[in-house]
Amino acid sequence: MKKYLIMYSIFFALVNQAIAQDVDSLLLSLDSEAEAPTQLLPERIMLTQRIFWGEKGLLRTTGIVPLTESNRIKELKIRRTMLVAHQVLGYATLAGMIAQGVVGQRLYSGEGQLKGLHESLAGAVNVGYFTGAALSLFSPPPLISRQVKGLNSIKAHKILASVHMTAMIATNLLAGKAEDPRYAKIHRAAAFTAFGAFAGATIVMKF
Amino acid sequence: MKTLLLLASLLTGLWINPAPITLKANKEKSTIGYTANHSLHEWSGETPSVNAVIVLNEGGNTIQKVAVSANVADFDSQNSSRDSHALEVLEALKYPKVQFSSTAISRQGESTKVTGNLIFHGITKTITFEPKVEKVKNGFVVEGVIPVSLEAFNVERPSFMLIKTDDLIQIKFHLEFYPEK
Repeated sequence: MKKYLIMYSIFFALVNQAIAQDVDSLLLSLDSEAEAPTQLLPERIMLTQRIFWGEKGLLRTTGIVPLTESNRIKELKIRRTMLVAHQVLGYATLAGMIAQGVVGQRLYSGEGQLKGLHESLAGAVNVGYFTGAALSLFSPPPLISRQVKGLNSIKAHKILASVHMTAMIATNLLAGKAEDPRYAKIHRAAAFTAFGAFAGATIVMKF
Repeated sequence: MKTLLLLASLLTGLWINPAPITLKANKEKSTIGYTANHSLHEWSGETPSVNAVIVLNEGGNTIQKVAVSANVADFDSQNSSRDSHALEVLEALKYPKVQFSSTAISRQGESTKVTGNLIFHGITKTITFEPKVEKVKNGFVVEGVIPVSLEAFNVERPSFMLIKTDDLIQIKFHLEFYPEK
């Protein structure tokens, strides 16, 4: 009889424990229904990033940075560092562009002695601009890249970036011919377009 | 004799502790969102993909336990760049979920006080909040706001223009629980 009572107690305890566990394992039951885990790479990746960091990118196929979770965690840290540097260089470049606008306008008005300063400023602005662009274009891709309907700050930033990139290249190409008054006007127009689009791209960006 | 005792124990166990009534959140009607603030602006994100479950008492008229789970990658603020930045600071690959499970639910008159464990960024902290609980025809509607400190969960606050976002974010939830059809 004693044996049966022990068995009864054990079985009773087990039944109760099983029910109690059912309540405690609510989170586990939810997890089993959860959506698919976060993908290592987004579906849409910018071409300049895909070349290096895509699933079949150069850094993957050469085995330098295999596509693994631990590598992606490191890549996202590199990405953030590159994007913060992109921001800082952006502000510095904008300041350089403002200064260049003042100097360029005076040079255009006939103050020929400013040519050297204008060229030096142009060099600094170009280094800041193209380094900043490269930091964004070649950074490791983000974790997600959603398509959002309508215009938002990042879309506006990218549209304006394509405008100022084109205008910057044009400004540089026309710089060599700027001593000819006909080209000087176009050079100046391209430079102001670059500045306007660049300032706009900086202003529209929001976290 | 043995069989009778086993049967008796099984029945006693079930009688003393009957299987709980559980209701799952209706995904089409439930959302969890957050509101965050930066010196330049305020923004919010929301996930329509919420997994939540409540356990009711035997009579099915009070909530005894609640558990909620959501993937951090599902929160959408209508700005992919910002969401991506948020996933970086939340280390979404290491800690893909935000979860809550209650440890105590008490009712005093019309108000309900919920205490439980919030698991966010891999850190578990006990929180207490007072949601609005409404018993509807065949289910429950639970909603409320929970202030959460990012730094308390070791989340590096995202920054823009070298200025960090505010430490406190507001987690807003609206959950509707009905029996599954």
